[in-house]
Formats: sequence, structure tokens, C-alpha cells
Amino acid sequence: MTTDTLTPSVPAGTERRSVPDTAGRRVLTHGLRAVDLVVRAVAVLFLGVPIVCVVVLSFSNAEVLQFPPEEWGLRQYRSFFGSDTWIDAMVLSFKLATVSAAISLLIGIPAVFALYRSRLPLKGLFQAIGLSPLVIPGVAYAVALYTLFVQFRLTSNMVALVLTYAVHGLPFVLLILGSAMARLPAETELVAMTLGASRPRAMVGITLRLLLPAIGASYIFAFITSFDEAVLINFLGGPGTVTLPKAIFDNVKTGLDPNITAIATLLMAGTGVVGSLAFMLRRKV
Amino acid sequence: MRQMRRRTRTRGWQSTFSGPTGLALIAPFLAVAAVFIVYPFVELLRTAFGEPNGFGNVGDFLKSPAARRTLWTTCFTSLIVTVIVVGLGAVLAWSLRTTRSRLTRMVIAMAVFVPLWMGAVMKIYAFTVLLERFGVVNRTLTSIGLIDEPVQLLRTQFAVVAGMTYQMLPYAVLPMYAVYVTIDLNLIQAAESMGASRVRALRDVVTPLALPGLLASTVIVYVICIGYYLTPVLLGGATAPFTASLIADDIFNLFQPQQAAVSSVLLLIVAGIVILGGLRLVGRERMRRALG
Repeated sequence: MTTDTLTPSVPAGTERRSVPDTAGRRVLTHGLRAVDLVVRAVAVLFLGVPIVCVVVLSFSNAEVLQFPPEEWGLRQYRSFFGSDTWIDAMVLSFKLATVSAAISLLIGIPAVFALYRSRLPLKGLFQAIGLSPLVIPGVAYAVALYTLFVQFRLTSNMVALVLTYAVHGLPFVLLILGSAMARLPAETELVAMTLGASRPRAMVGITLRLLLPAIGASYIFAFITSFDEAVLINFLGGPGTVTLPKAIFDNVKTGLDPNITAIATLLMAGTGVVGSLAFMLRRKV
Repeated sequence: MRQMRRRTRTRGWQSTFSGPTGLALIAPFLAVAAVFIVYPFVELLRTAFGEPNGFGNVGDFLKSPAARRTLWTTCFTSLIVTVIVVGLGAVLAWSLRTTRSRLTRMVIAMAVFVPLWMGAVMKIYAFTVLLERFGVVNRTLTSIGLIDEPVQLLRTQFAVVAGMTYQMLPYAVLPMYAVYVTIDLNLIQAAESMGASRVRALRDVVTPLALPGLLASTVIVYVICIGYYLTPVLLGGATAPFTASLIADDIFNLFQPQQAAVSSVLLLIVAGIVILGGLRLVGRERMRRALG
């Protein structure tokens, strides 16, 4: 059904009529609204149901997953905090993410200065290389890194893993910091310098300071990315390196530990707080 | 002489760093990128096109009907997911942009953001809980009498499509919303006041303005989908495996990294073609914005 047949066509040269209120038009508009409503409802339900289920199940006292839970309580949370395996995995993920996100920033901040505030040639190419981990099919990237790790026997090597994660977080630094930097007028530094500031001082005191919210936001994004990373670790980690996502991956393969509902709920709350903070920081620049 | 020296000095007063300084600033990035991005891919290509048959490896690989089918499954399923994600995402993003009801806005925003706070494996865990034999979906369907006994939902193509859509949808809504924000809503009223129906206004005014941005999102979603590892491996069945499952099998069970490298290169080729097509159609800046 095309709209052209339903809207009265106006021959060229004749005057436009006022908006006609035909039955066809009413049906079309109402139909559109109905379809819109249904699609919205389906999408929202689809997005919401898995989360509600996990959160509800985390407050079940049963030893196996059962919906709706017969007995409520904090059993899942207690047994998660009492389990060395889960806590160790969580601590390892936390350490990895903290360090690798910091390295992403250490590498990324000067790189963004070079990409946006220098007369370096090939900037587009460097930018594309830095962003490529985001668009390269993930599993192909994992295999490529796997060949590197096997060749130099880096499996279970923590330094190599941290650096890999740092590269994994780098695109977020380039994107967030880059778009913040692009919005800062470069002339502000010149103003500071005419007023007597040295070049480094102008850079740190003006540009870097104005970038602080974006730096915070990119740290948070890089951190979350590393903390959640579950693909590369399968290929690169070796048997000894069990991060939290890896532990959950193994668990989903073999059976379903109900403790994970508690972990998921806690992490969702944590990520929600930190992620919203990052979102607000991003809006500041 | 003195004047000349002064002139050279004034050239130093620029708001940008010189090339060499820029190089020094970007050096750590280049070093890390060379080792962890560029070199691995060179090595991957060498493995894929090396022993035993050079470029013929790809041909040998594609001779096997199973391998061809796997690649087809990957590309086709990803296409279905992309269509669903872009369709639903466009509606959600448009609702976020246009709704005047605070409740609607809040509900949609929550539905989009909260899944973003859940890690990728957690989402798969949630889907396993929902879809397993005695999981939430089967129990609900049996108790309301729609089905008599539990049906197989987990380890099917359906589970993979649902899981991948779930992973991708929230990520797709945000850049689409950013595209819609740039569209002046008064344009719709203007079109309607001149006699266009709502459908026509959306089709002929909003769609052309939003299309390049939506297309960029489509390309990004597709490329990410064909590279998904976790969802096909954990939710998919053995009947129609994804390339990701084949790669995992090659590396962890059959110890044939060369086969895995060939599969990966094929995925890279598909991704490359799609991205180049996207760049051709909408340009670099729009593609970059679609990344978030």
C-alpha cells in the first residue's frame, strides 16, 4: 500500500488544499501509531525480561534455578561472597581492568594530542588503526592475537595480557577524548601563552584541565570493557588466568551456578553507577 | 640579522605541535599498535596463506561443503540480526527522540541502558536461564497451556538470533538517537501542513535525512555480528555452527590454527567489503560517529 494513492494528488499548477481529513489518512495514521506501539512494547519487553529474571532469581534461596522462586532470601549473595573461586576471579578482573585502563590513558592521551594538535602526517591512518579493534570481527582479532601469543609463548603472561587489554580499551580513549578535544578551541592555549604561560603550562593548565571529565569518562569505559572482556581471555589467558567473565563462560558451558545471578545483579548495579557517571562526565565537555 | 632571528621565532607561536613533536607524542601508541594490532594481522595472513598451499588454502577450505555452509550461516544469520536490530533500534531511538511522555521516555531509556550495564557473558547466562529445558520461557508456556511439554530453545538458531539481537540492540540505539537529534522535528509539521500524511512525512522527509546515519549503524552492527564469538558458541547448536564455533573447534580441540586463520581471514574479507561499501556510501565521519 503506497501513500500516494491515499493522499489526494494535487495536479501541478493548482493551489494547495488545506490538510484533508480523509478516512484513508486516518486509518494510515492510526495504523502507524498502532504498529509503533506494538514494536516499542515488544522491544522494551525483550530488553527488560532477561534482566528482571536475573535480578528476581538472585533473591531466591533455592539451590537450583527455579522461576518463580519458592523461597526468598540472600543465599546466592552469601554463597558468592563465601566462595574463593568467584572472589579470586573478581579480584583478578578488577586488577587487570584497573591497570590496563590506566595504560590505555597513558598511551591514549598523548596520542590524541598528536592526532588533533600536531602537524603529523598520516593522522587518518593512525586513527583508523587505533579504532580498528572496534570494527574488526572480534573472533578474527582473537585468532590474530592468538598467533602472536603462541609464537612468542606469551600465553599466561600477565604483562602481555594487560597490554592487550590496554589496546582493547584504547579506541574508547581515542573516540571520547578525541571528540572532546575537537570541540576545544586550540586558540585558548595561545591566549594563555600570550599572557605569559609557558607551552607545557598552557597545555596542562588549559587543555588537559578542560579535558579532565572526558579523561574520566574514557577511563571508565576502558575499565568496563576490560572488566567484561570474555573473548580474548579464552584464546590468550591459558588455564591459569581465570577472570570473572572467563569463570562465568566456563560455568555456562558446563551447568548453571545460581550464584551468577547474584554476581550479575551486583555488577549491574556497580556498572550502572559508574557508567552513568561516565555518561554525565561525557556531557560536560 | 636580528630581524631575521625574530621572524623565525614568531613561527614557533602556533597552536599545533610540529611533526616531530607529534611523532614523539604518538610513539607509545604506535609501538603498542604495531605489536598488538598490525603484527598479529600480518602473522594471521601469513598463517592463512602460508603452508601448505599459499593462496590456494582458501580455495581448499571452501571446497568443503561444511565450511561453505558455516560461512553462509554466519553471514546470513548476522544479516537477520542486523535487520531486526536496526528495525527495532530505529523505532526505539525515534520514540526517544519524539515522545512527549516522560514515562515513555524513562521506560525506553531504562530498557536501553540497563542491558548496557550487564557484561556480555552475563547476558548469555541470562538467556540460558530463560531458554533452557526447564527454564523460564518453557515453564511459562507450559503453565499457560500453549505447549504440552518443554520445547528445545537453547542451542538453536533462534537462541543465537535472540542472544545476538540482545547484545547489539542497546549499542545500536545510541548512535541512531544521535542521528535523529540532528533532525528538526518542525520539518514533519511543515510537511503535514502542506498536505503530507504522517507516513509520507516520515518517508519523504525524515528518512532521507536519517538514512546515511542509519546506514552507518547498519554496517557497524553487521560487522560486529559476524565476529561474535560468545553467543554462537554458548547458545548455538551443533546443527548449524557459526564460523566462531568452527574456529574454537580448530584451535581448542583439533589444534589446527592454520584452518582457524583461514576462517578468520574469510571473516575479515567479508567485514572489509561491508566496511568499504559503508565508507563509499556514507563517508568516514558518519562511520566514526556510528561507533559511539
